[in-house]
Amino acid sequence: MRTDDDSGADAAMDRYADGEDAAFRLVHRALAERLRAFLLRMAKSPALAEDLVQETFLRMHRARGSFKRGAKVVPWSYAIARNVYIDQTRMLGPKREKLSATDDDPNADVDAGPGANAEELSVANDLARTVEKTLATLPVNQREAFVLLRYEGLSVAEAAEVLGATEGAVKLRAFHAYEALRAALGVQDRKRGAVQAKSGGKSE
Amino acid sequence: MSREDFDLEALGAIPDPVDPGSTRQASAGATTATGDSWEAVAAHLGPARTRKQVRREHVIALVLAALWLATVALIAGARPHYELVTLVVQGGVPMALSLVVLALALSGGKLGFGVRPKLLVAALALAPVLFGAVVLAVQIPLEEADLRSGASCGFVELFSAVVPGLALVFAHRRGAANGAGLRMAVLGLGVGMFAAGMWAFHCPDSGAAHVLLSHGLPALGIAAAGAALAVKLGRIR
Repeated sequence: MRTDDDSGADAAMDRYADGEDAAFRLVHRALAERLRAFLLRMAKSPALAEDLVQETFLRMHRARGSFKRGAKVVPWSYAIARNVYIDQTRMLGPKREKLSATDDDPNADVDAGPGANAEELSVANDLARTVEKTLATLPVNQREAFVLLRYEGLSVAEAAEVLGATEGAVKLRAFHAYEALRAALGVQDRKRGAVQAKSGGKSE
Repeated sequence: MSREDFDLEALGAIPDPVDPGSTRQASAGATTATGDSWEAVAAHLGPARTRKQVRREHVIALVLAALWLATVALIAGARPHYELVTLVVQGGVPMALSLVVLALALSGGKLGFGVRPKLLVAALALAPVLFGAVVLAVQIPLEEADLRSGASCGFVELFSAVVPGLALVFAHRRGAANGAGLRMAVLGLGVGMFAAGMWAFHCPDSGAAHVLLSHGLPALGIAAAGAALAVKLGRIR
């Protein structure tokens, strides 16, 4: 799903790769939020995600000369961000899970939208938590395929380039992630239904 | 839902933990101020090669590689007796294959990630197999056979590939967003096969076993070295 912002970012990255230093700020403005969201979904910790975003931009800066003219900067930056995340994961090793499991999760209370009542808000929070927890349990290759396709709006071809895999493999990974998430959400639905039935029975 | 029925549209049914009910807006929901982030990045920006400088390094590496190979070929000299078929099969074929392989390894690809991994794997597998098949298919009478010459051929080939290989790896350092190992392996294979083809113009031993083991095998070794180097040098970091 290409937007005018993406085209603007491509053009800015092209200029930056040609040596126009001022253009990097435009690239940063266009990509920082998306990369932060991607890395937050992968790493879970906002503080870690922020560090990884900065490292991603530093690597983009160092590699600017290798950015192909006319290429798309969004998949390229996601591929670099993914490498940054993988490098960080390898470096931290077992510590990572502890770090990811901290309670400073910004998504603890999600906004269910204007006009949402307390019950809707609670349901949205539960769903968000379930999705987040299930995503964290998935193998990295399934999680990243799912996140890129579902949340980052990349096409299968672009996600395949980012992940260095075939389109079929990316679809398969996303399918496995989808099945796991659907199963987790189904369990939660049934639990909620049971609770509602119980509380309904009591009130009668 | 089975794998075959899976439609990507179905992914939309999974809520977004960052911002339920949205995809692109999701990114805006979980962030801190972009301005602060920019200041933090800008403070650490050191010198970085521009596209023009990178291209210049690529050209220099290719010229250096060509000069080195030409020098080695000149110093080694041409074999005294040869037939055209020998040169075509044992020199021309690997050199032509190496050019195709090098073009694949160095291509930017459609999205700037290089050519598809499938193509690189195919090149890595098929180029040596094709070379071997042609050498075995067109049997050339053995002119000279010596174990020591076999070892020296392998050594000289490795020696002649070192400078071109390192020059190309250096020029393409930290340039691959992904698949660096595969691309560097293909690059190494290309350089190795070119060196193998070039050496056939000097080596008087035209036996298929000698050509495959002493000329072909080192090319695979150079490919493996390329893949090993890629971990540190090829990937963007």
